[in-house]
Order: sequence, then C-alpha cells, then structure tokens
Amino acid sequence: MSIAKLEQSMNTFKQGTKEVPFEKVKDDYYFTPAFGNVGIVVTDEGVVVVDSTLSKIQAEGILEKIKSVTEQPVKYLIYTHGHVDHVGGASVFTNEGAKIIAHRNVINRLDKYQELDKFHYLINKRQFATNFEETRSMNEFEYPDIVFDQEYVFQLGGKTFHLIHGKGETDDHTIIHVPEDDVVFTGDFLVRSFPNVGNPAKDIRYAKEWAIMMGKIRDLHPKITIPGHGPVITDSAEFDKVTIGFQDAMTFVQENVVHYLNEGKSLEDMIELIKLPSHLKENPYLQQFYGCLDFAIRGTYRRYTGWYDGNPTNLLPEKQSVISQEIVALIGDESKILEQAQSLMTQKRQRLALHLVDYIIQSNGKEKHEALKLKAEVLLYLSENEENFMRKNIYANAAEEIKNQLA
Amino acid sequence: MSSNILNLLDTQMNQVKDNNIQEVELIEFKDNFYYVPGFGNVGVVITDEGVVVIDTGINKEHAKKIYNRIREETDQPIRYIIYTHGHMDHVNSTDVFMEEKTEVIGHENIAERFRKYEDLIQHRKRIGTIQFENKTSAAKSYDFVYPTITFSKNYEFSLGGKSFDIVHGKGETDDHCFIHIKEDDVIYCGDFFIWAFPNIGNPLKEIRFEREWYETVEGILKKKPSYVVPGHGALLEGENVIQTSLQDVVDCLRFVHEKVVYYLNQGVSLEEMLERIELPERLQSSEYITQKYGCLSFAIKGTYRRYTGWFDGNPTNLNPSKGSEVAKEVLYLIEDSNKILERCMELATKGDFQLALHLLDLLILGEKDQKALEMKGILVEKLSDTDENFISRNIYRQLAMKLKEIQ
Repeated sequence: MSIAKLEQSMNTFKQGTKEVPFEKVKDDYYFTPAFGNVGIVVTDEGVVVVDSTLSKIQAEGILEKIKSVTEQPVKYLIYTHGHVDHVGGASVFTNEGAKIIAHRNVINRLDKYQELDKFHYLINKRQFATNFEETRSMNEFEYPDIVFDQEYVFQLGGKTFHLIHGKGETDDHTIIHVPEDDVVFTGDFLVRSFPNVGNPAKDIRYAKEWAIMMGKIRDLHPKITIPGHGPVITDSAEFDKVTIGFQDAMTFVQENVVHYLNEGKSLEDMIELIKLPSHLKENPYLQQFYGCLDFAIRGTYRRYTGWYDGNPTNLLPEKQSVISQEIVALIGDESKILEQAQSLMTQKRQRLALHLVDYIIQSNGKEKHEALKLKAEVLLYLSENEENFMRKNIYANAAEEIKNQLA
Repeated sequence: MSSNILNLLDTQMNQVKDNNIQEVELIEFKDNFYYVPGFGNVGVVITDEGVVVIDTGINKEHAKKIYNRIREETDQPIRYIIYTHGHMDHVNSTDVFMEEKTEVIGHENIAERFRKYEDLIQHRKRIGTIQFENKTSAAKSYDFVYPTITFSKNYEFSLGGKSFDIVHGKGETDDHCFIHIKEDDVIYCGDFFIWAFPNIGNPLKEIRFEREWYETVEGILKKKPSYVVPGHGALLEGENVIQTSLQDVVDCLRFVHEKVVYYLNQGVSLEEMLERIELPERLQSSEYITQKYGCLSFAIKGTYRRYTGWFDGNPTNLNPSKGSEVAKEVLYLIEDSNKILERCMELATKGDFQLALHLLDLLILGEKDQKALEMKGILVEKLSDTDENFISRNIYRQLAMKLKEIQ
C-alpha cells in the first residue's frame, strides 16, 4: 500500500463502475477490496455482508457477484463502524431485505453527518482531494435495525457471528469473529498504514482502546483476518507483524503523551521529544503515508486536554487580523517580510515562510496579493515534497483555493 | 442565588481548602428525601430497608459530618451509593459512606474515567490547581471507589417501597445519569443543572456533549418532577420553577448547538463564530444560566472543538514551525525590541491588555525577555481583577502568580 494505491482506490470510486473484484477467501467467504473493503459470508440460511463500501454502484456490483455464487438472500449487513466508506452502499443490501446490525453510537454518527453534511464535504475535499458532494454520499444513510452496546451474538446456517465493540478510529467500532471458521473481520482496527488516530479535521479518536482491541484480536488467533482497507491476511507471521505493530504503536503513543502531560510538557515539545522506536518506524505495516505519528500525538494530546493551551494570552485571544496588523506595523515595511519569506524558501524553511506571509494576509496589507501568490507557491512546494497523503492533499487543496481566489 | 454565584463558588472553594466546613445542613425537602449543599451536593434517601446516598462530595471531613448526621436520623445501613457522574467533586468521599454491604452504582464509563485520572494524576492536579486556584487540590485523594454495579443505558432497583430509575445521558461528561424516584416525583439530576450556564467547553478539560445534554434535560422535564436536586446549588421546587429553569438550559444548549452546526456548514471560522453568535436576550437575563462558571464563549469553543479536528483549516498550521522560531523571525524583522515594549506600554495605558500580551509573547518566546515576562505578569493580573467568570478569573490569577514566581 502506498499513496499511489490510495489514489487509485479513490479514482475507482470516482469512476463508479459495477466491475468489482470478488475474491474467494475460502469456502463460504468472499472479499471485495474497495475504498472500504466488503466481506461476504455465505451460509445455507442466508448471506451476511460486512460493510458496504463508499460507492453504491460498486455495492450493486458486489450484490450481483453474491447472486452469482448463491441463491440465498442477504439477511444481515453488519457495519464495522459508521464512516461513510463503510456504510455508503448499504441501501443496495437493505433493498434486498437485509437487516443492519451496528454499535449504538453509529446512530449518533449518522445523525451528525446529516446535520453537518456541508462541513463534511468541505473537510473531506481537503483530506481526499475528492468532491463527495457530487455523489451526495453524506445524506442518504441506512440506519441500523439492531444496535448493541458491548457484544452481540447471533447464529446463521451453523455459523456463530460474535460482534465485539471497541473504540479506536471511532467510538462505534465493531469486530466480527466467526469461531467455527477462525475468521475475524477487523474493520479499521487494521489498515495498511500507521493508525489514523489523530486525523487533522476529524473528532477525537482512541489510541489506548485501539491497543486493547489489538490484544483481543490477537487472543482470537484467527487463521483469516479481513481488514477494513488493504488485503486479506492469512499468513500468521504477517498477522503477528501487523497486529503487534499496531498494538505497540498505539501503546507507545498513549504512554508517551500521558507521560509528557504529567510532566507538564507542551504539545510543541512533545512533537519534538517523541520519536518512534526503529522497529516501529521500519515496520512495513506502519508506514506513515495516511495516519502518522505527528497526527497521533496531536490527536491523543487533544483527547485529554481542553481548547486552552495554558498560555493566558490565548484564553480570550484578540482576533488574528488585529494581532497581525500590530506586527506588520512594528516591522514597518511589508516588502521586508516578503523578502525574508523568499529568503527562507531558498534556505528550505518553507513552513516558517508561511507564518511570515500570513501576517500580511491576515492584516489585509498592501502586499496581500503578492503574499497570497507566495503562499500558494510554498504550499505547492510542500505538497509536492510531502509523503503523507492527507498533508499532501490539504496543501494542494489550499494552494488551489488561493489560486482561485487570485484569479 | 444567581447574582452571587461567583461569591458562592468562592466560599465553597475556600471551605474545601480550609477544611473548615460549617455544620452540615441536611435538608429534608420531602419525607425521607434529603440533600446536603456542598461542593458537590450530596443526596440522601432514607427507606425502611436502607439508605441511598447520591454522590459523595469532594471533602472527606464534610462527608464524615454528613455520615454522622445521617446516623442521627436513622440506623438503616447505607445500601447504595449512586454516582451521577465521575467528576471528583461527586465521588471523592465515597469511602466515608462505605459499609459492609454498600453497593456503588455508576455508569460503565466511570471506571474508564477513574483510570484516566489515575494515569494522568500529575496533569489533573496541575489543571485542577489552575481552575480552582489550588484550593481544592489537597482535598482530592485519588483513591477512587469503583462502581460495583454498572449499566449502559439505565438501571432500576427498588428499596423500601421506592423504585429508583437511573437514566444515562451524556452532558458535562459521557458517564452522566439522573435518578428518578417515580412515586415521589423526585429527581436527583447531577450536573445537568448547576445554577449557571452549562459548563460545556471547559478550557482545560476534554470534549463535552451539548446536544445529548439538552436531550437528557428534555427527558427530565417529561417526567414532570415536583423536586429536582441539582449537583450544585439549591433545590428546584414546584412546577413553574422547574419548567422555567430546565427549559432555559435546554434552550441555551440547543441554541449553541444549532448556531455552531450552522456556521460549520457555512465554513465560518471559530473566530468569526465567537463574534457573530449572541445569546438571545431572554437567555442572557435568565437567573438560571448566568455566565459566572460556564459561559457562551466556552460553550462555542467546546462545541466547535467537538465536531472538528486539531487542524484549524489554515495550511500554515498543519505542520507549524515552533512558536519560538516564528517569534525570532518577527523580532529579526522588527529589529529593535524596545519598539515592542514601548508599543505594549502604550496599549496597556489604553487598557488594551490583551493585544499587549500577544506582542509580549513575541519577546518571551523569541528571546525570553525578562522585562516582557514581568509586564505579562502585571497585565494578566489586571485581567483577573475585572474578570467575572470564575474559571477564567482563576486561570488568570493562578498564572499571574506563577509569572511572578519565575522572576
């Protein structure tokens, strides 16, 4: 997995065709890798589908494939969690009569997405460089028919479906264990990148509980593990490497942030002090192209603190435009700021240059046009040199917005 | 009550500090139903099969007196202690009430809260010092009595002919509940009502739940209680008072929720929201939600924070430079730091302490300037003199003291 594969996955979604892969994992088990994987379990009393991917059209393709391997109806659709890339295609299955099972908090999440639909289009456009508004994917949800708090168990066609709740990427996550076949569906407790436990634009996530769930998944000793994103894991050495890696990475983040909070360290200091040990840094399953250590520290710090950073200046701050006007007035000459920003760029200190041009932009200065041009240029540079998918997209999207503003 | 809530909070805080609690006032507002006003009210219900205690208060000396006072009323054993939520001022003195067969009932999330307090003990002590001016720190013992009976949504039990219906709802915390004793039309509501603007965005604490808060209070209103015992402050009695006071809480929380959601969807920044959102006049003048503890700006910041991430949307702040680095650049461009101090003096003389603080921070962050630090201490103290909000005033006071110590 890499940025390229992620982009490819987004493009498949955008093209929206019914042509989906449908891999047989073992007898009765099928799997569609997509933006939001889909798992399928066939029994002689009906079919259970795990997640429904982002795209309705792809979900339709999956339903056709299911019908090509069994005459049994889809009885249940289980949501591993309420993120849109896991619930988007649900109506395709509920139209067939499937009942949806999910953790209770999925309801609140779907309510929130509907209430905040425009806001979510905005932040997802930044994060994925994709306009979801065109697909109206944020406001047509299928709500669960059956909800549970901690665990839920049902039998179908001789198979036991054991649903276990845990928090991690969300507060509404579920894994599904089928003990007869030693299969576990993990949802986004396993993805092919450093756990995304501090998404820049999203609400609180749960490193500590994520590590705990990794322990539970390991205790189940599954032979087949089907993640929310990325390929199926059947090799036990690979299983160990991924699950231990995730468990250690989340424990590491949790313990370090807690330690430094107790020491009274600032977030800025933590970002500088916390360095990933080499065995985690080199773990191929923990590459930081989607989630990353910096995000994880910021997210975990945020979970345990308030909006106030401890500096009394920032308790009831003045508007940024007023502060910037003061600073620009004290410097006296806007072109001096621009020159210094350019000089920082040649020294490869692009991020610092952004702070300087912001003073001109925020104060609405004479050189605002030039400052914006420079900012767009820096952002493009940062985007091109960025190895993290989300940062890359956020920089590129911001550069484009500035260009549109200038045009 | 409302006009002097700041005084009341100060008095209670000083009592906690001095351990110098006046005689316990066990108020019987209805046959067998009592409460003791304190820093954390304590509720007491006496039945002929045993006693139920609702919350235990922060101060153990005070709790011992309450226990003795209960013993003057009855020989019945303490059968149940119910936590309305896991905040320190509601759970700290539990051990004082524990007898051989006492069960402790609390929402399932309380255990996780206690573990968090234990993990983050130094951090919690530090922020407690700031919020309560170091006056409650000594009382907090961190020797939690974990619930022996937990529940997800609700829990019911009967004792001596009274049925206790415990209903979970999120609000100030995720582990909150209220206790309804149907036959007697009594509700103990914990911090769902506190005789102040709901504290939904505490500067130093984690995410709170504005929407669930008003939904739960609506649930309380539907039960049409004749008596409501709040977590802090005096009993609410009589249909009119209860209807008006609780409806004001519902309306102000719904107002904040709807405004923040609206502006998030519009893509409006937090800074602009703070400027644009004004509380309707009726709510501004309500004696039940004066802004001496929680306040509108905290509520907006907290609610905004709940639905967003750590990234503010300005790409400059996605991977920002350190504050000290930025300050150094600005100082370099200003050339003469005396110019900054002079400007700060000028601003301070005009009474614009806040803007002066932002400029002083450049000198403090950039070159650890002693004069700037000294002036910051003076200005922060001046802000504390005129601040009428208990929390922000304490933060300013505490940090002004610290700044003086540094010098």
